[in-house]
Amino acid sequence: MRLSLLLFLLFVVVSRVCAQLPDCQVNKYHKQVKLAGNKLVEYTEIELQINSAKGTDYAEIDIPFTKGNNIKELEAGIYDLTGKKIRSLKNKDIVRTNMFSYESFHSDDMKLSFELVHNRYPYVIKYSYKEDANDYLYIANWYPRWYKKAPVKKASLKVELPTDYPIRLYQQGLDSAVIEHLQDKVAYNWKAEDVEYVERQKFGPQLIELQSHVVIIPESFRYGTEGSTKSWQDFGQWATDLKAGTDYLTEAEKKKVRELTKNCSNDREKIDVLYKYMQNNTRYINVSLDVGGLKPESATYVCNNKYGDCKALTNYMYSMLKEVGIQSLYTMVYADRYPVPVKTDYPSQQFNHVILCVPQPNDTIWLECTDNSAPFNYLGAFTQNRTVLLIDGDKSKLAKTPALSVDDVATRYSTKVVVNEDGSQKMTTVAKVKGPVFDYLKGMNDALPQRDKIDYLEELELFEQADIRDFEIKQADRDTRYLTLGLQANLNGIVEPIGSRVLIKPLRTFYFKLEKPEKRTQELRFAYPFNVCDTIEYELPRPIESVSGIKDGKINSDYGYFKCKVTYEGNRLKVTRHIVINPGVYQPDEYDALYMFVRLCANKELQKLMVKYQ
Amino acid sequence: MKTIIPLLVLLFSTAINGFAQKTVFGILNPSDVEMKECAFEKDAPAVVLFDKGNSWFVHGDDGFILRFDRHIRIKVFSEAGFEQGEIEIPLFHNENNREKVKDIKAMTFNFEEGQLKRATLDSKNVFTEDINENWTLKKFAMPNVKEGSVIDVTYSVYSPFFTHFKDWEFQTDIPTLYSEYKVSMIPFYSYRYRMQGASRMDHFKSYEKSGLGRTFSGIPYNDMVYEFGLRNVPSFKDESFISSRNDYIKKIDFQLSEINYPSGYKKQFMNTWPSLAEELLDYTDFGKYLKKAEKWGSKTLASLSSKPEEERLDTVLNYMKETYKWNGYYGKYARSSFKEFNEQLTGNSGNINLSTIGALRAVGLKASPVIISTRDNGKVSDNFPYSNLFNYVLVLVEVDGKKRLVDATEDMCPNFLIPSRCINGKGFIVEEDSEAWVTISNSAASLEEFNLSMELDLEAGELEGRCMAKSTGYMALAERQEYHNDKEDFEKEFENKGINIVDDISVTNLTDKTLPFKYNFDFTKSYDQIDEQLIISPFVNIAQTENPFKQEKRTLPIDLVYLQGNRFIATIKIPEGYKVEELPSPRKINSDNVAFSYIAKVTGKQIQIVANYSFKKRNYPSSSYKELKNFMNTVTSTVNSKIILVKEDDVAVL
Repeated sequence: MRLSLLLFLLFVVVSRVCAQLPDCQVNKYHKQVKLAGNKLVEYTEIELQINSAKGTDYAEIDIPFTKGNNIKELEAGIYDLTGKKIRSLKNKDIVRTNMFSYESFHSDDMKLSFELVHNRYPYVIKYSYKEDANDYLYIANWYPRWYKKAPVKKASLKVELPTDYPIRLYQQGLDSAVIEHLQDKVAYNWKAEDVEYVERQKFGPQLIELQSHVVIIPESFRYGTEGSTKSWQDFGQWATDLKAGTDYLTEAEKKKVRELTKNCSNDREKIDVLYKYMQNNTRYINVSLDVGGLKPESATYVCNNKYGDCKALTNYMYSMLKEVGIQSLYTMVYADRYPVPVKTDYPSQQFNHVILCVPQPNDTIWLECTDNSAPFNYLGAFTQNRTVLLIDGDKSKLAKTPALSVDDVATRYSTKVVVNEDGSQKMTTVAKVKGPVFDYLKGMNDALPQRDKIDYLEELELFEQADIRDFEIKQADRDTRYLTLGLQANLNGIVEPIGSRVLIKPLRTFYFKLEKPEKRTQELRFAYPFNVCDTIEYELPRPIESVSGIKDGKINSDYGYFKCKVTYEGNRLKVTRHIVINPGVYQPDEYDALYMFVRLCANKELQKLMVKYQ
Repeated sequence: MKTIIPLLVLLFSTAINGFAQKTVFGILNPSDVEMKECAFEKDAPAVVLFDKGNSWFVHGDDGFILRFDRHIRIKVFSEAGFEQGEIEIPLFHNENNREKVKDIKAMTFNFEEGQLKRATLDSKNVFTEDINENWTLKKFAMPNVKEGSVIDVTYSVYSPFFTHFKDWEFQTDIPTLYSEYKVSMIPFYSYRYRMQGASRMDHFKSYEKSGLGRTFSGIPYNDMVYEFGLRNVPSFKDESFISSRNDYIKKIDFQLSEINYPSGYKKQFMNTWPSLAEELLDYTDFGKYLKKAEKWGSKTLASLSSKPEEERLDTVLNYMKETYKWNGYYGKYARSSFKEFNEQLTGNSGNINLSTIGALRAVGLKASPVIISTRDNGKVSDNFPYSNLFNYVLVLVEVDGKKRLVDATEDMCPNFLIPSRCINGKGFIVEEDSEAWVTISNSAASLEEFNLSMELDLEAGELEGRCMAKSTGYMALAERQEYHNDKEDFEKEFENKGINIVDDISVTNLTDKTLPFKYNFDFTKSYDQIDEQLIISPFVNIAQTENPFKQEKRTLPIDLVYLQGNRFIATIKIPEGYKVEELPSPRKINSDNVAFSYIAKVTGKQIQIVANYSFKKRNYPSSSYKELKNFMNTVTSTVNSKIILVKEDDVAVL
């Protein structure tokens, strides 16, 4: 009684001091992990304080789990600030459903959902549950802070392991664990208060890299099969074992594969023929069940269904190559335009995608097996230039994918804008597109119904001020690493008459807005180069007397290059801009110079033009 | 290639007539394989060759069970059509009973290397997913789908839910060559049906099933069969600014109207509006719930009864909005019991609004439920008295002799407005022995005004000013919600337009929802300077810069939900030593549909610009689309016109 009164008083004082409470705060987030025999037992306890009606969004709680690892001993209830229980969650108010995902067609990711709403603020929600896992890759992968807007007051992680249980430990942003030695156990205790949420700065590391976290990797583990994380070689051995026995093609498919390659004169041709055969005859469908998150469906499965996810399709391609005596390597990669770099000192599951590496005497071939429109031996911005793991039994090792060069991404636009006397403006653009824009557009012709194509094109935000009337995408063949985009559009307000002058806004500007140097704390990563050249020719309704605004200019720097040229004659005006930004990773101490360069380029890109007619 | 075709014919069924033909699973027509495109929609990525449904009553262990057989065959032309190979079968269940799917058979056909190859769906690859408390999904991906594939699927759904007789959509997002629904009725269950989107059927037949009849409980009977068929149905294209896909898609709905028990007893299922009202008023989660809420209200809110009527209404609505949180679910019925609702303080629209009615009655106001169909649920028609077409309940209350529609689900919504999702045609007033309707609309226009006063900071190259904004009606509701949900995002919207907010946005009437929503802030915004010319955008990009009507052509009507008006005022102080070089000319448009006015003038050392535009109707036919599009083109280009200022002594040079 006395205690609760004290608490109450304390609260009054506190609430006066910080009048602006967050809508929801996490008072406590505790996780306890133990090994019980072969099982990993995880106990989670959370205490949320809802401070306002708006905070009730946080009172809709989802507990994700994987089918098979059931959630046990779920208890939840609403409490007042003194700790008095207002009511408990009833079993019938818990809904168990499949987790919705855009990424997979079907998976066994499930969730339990419930809500605990009350109308007197603040109130407290407490809930706790246990989860057992038979197969696991991590002992813990703990992020004490997960909501951007809900501060975490107290968080703790306790991990109890047998004394002789070797682990690899990685932690960031937190004090080291307090270690207790118990009889035959070691307990690691992490504690954190007022855990900060770190926002991502432009081109900075990914959110998941920035938040405080603890990762504990078991040195030997069981996930589908026994494995070890002592070295990448060992980890690769595990991945090899996991996919063992999945490389059988059906007899019919074997025959087909031999038939297809019988007239090929060399291995490269065989690889090419089989790759195209796969592209033409399979489609991407992601079904992820059990250890299916990591274990590929068999090649037989793909033979029969002619579909699969990245693992299944890659494994199928691998199996076809094996059938014709060509060795290839199943390759694990973190796919994203802006990837989370692999922590090479911590052999473990750090990947989200699989591709195929085919070593050849003079040159290695890389195959993306989930993209029916990918050129042969082409890795786009999604997988280029990064550390990957080649799975090859005890010869498994890390390697690097080839990088996109400045030329590989060079995109050239050539545009004509006709401005009529009535002010209407028509644009015709022909572009030779490479790099990420090529990656984005190449499959569009086939993959999208006609009516969705313009929306898809507009997603690129290259034609913001344009109403696209017609367009055409041409690619000589699937192996061509560029495409031609022809586009006709009406422009809105690009050329704006003001009395006897016209103001011309820049079209298709290419620039980045970066944080001011004094605010920058994170490294900056340009994961691939940018190279855009744009030539715009305006045909104006009247002869030009003078042009002001844009001037010819050139900026050269270690970070890239910018060039601009303006010419006019009669009623024609031509503006050419060319910008190149080199890839690289820059630390904050180097940021000032980079920032200046990017800003100068942006100013030039955004400069408007004023034309005075004769 | 050609020579193979006749051979193929032998393998196929001989009925080539294409229409009202017998279709057998796994037996293709030559045309199914040969087809290269859909004749009436050449760019379609796939086409439904036929889609046939058959609903009939089968004898179960205990009375009848509804059986629904479906056979659909799809031709895939291009990669964009591959997603047609992902099949989903939704199944309904409640605590006691569930629909079951049986006999799923599915095959993909490909014509390759001179042969017709078939790939059969492996039952291992059929998955079940739980979607929510009432729905599960059977789903599977067809094997071997590629360009040119023919997908053939059949399955049967067995259902104990006679009130959920399968409806039929003739139209989908790809074109359909033939769609047919056959229903076999028996004397024990009567249904009514409603057609939408097709004035006549290409195929319609009704006949008594010949052959030996059936018997049930010793009563002999024959099935009465109805067949509905449509040919060459175009794909359905969604357009922006429509009320609901449900209102336009070609479909047929069935509603249970009567059960005739063999004993001779008849149970009516809402054959007339008054009987529908009666049923609802008798129902546990509707009428009985109302009574419980009223009882609770008289205990909790009794003290209000002496207050003026208007005040009583406001107090009750405010109390409901503050106390209970809407869980986001629609429903005309209460989703949980009143006791649970009051314990958990959260519920669906039925819980909240039925409780509100109870509370209003408890304080002596006349209040009735009005069942409606929300915008995304489609429109209701008064010759189709079925409660399951309605998915929401509103409150009709009489205050000082005037009737008003109100809603208590949205905390941010002022008491005189109902959420815009409810504005959809008319609603049925649920009162005993009554057949009355109320039109759901809001005649008050929603307005938004921005008043900007600015001067130039020549050194910084910036405009410095103050923005005073004010909105009413639904626009105020939207802005309040936005501001309430995320203050930072609200500010960001201005920052995205290049407006730099100095200090904070100060807001008035955030909580007093009866008053206009107002906010002010100081800002800076850079202007362009090209040589000595200062180029100023008087509404600093706050006014609409893009035409919202993006489509070139329009086939569906345009529904703007409520009347809207926008007003922009800018006052700019001309800096010392400068003069106006260019000023935009005035504009005026006034038609039955829309109005626009724009005036810019210089008075002494000040420029003042006033722009107004408004939509005079809530709904426009598709034929007005061009006018609206052109109108917004003019509006956006005019309100974004620039002013040029130059130094007074520079004038001669230019």
